[in-house]
Amino acid sequence: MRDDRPETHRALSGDWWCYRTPFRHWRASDVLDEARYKAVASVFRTTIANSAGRHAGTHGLSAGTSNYDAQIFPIGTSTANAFHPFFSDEWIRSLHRLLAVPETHRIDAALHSSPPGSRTGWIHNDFCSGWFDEATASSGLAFANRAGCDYFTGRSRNESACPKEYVRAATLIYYLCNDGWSEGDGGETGFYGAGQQHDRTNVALVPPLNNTLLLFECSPHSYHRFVTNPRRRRNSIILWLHTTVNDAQSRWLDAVHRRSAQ
Amino acid sequence: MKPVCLVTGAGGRLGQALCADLARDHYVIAAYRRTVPKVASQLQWPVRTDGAEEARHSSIHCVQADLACREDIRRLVEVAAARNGRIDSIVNAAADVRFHGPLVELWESGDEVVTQLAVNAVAPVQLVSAVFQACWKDQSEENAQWNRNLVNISSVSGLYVTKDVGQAYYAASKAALNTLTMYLSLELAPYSVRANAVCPSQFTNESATQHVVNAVRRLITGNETGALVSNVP
Repeated sequence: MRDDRPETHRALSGDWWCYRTPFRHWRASDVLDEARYKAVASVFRTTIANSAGRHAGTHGLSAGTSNYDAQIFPIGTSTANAFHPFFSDEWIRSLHRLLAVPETHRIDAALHSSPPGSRTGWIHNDFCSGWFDEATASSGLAFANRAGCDYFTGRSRNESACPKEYVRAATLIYYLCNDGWSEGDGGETGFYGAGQQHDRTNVALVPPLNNTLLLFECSPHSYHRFVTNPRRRRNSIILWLHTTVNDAQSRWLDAVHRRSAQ
Repeated sequence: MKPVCLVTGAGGRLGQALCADLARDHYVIAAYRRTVPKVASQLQWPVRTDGAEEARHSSIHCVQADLACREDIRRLVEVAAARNGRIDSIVNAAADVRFHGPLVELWESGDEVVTQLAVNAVAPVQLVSAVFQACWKDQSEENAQWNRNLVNISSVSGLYVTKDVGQAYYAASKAALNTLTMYLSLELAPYSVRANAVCPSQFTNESATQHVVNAVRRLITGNETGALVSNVP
């Protein structure tokens, strides 16, 4: 059947709501239809199960950072199709239009799986540089290629790399494989008010309910963190959209957390 | 011009349903304590993915307020009156619904039972009083013209004694609210303001909640006063 909806929203399905506080964000439920959810969840489970215990790298889970306990499986061009529609051109374009952010076709994505008892993360805003190796970037969507350059600093990892700086424009967290989650299980995403980097009282907790997503604009105010999950594993797919340095600076002046190897 | 309705407890199941329903033909001031009601307001709104034009203006304005705090009641009324110039109806749906167990085992109970009585019985009357002082006093003609009124969301628990449920304090708070509603209807009648209460039993699903909403709407738009409506759902 022909889809007559405007291109702007065509890829977005489910029940979407925009929230103004504590910073602009969107939440959506019933994001995928039942069959598509089952397919994506199955790939997620298989990927996590097959990767457990392997060395970090393209095909293995890496440990989180020193203050984030999640096991992380990076998604790249070769693995993205299995998670359709999340990494399709149309889906990404719709998100850019919803956010009113220029389309750069530069994304970073990963599967995150936090074992029971993972520590509460640190309060941060995700508003930082993201470097891409333009030498290996494809003409369509380009995933961060850490073999070419360091994502956070742009430091080249081989002679042919051509690092270019972008800035994170938005973070999307899609929750899945958290069957039977209930209050008290933890694993929520906590939101913190503007200027509250050091105030640990959350102003909202977004529960990791299956087939829901959270999308927020990265800004100097988008303070958030992972909240400890004492009882059960918490699973999600995470995706960062990027904008140009000029666009980020036109919005937020020098508040961008820019890092470079130089 | 649409009437203005102030709804408390807007973050709860019934409160959200009331806001959504009343917003069809009222300006709604939605007071919530913890949970922002999931209705289109200045704080949040649905994103249309079907291509339809998005509603830019909502009839609902949310205000955070803890009704156990007198200053919050004052601020709530000030915001509502300042925003719309008047308040035509109040629906007191905020409630502390905890059951504390058998009375004979509550000799060590702390502030929670006092708080429950305050939130369920005293705060609704304080809110009505604050609105009366700010908007309804000396306005009999206008009150009649706008059919001004209040509806307290009580409970069937306030009408009957039920064995072995452990709801004595909750029931007492609702019984007090029923009595206070009738006193309010007497006190407000000379000012052409009506006062009623709805006393539902449990409304745990959407359909039952809609019955309560319908009962509230009937009281808001009708002409009864001093009524305790218990045949819902």
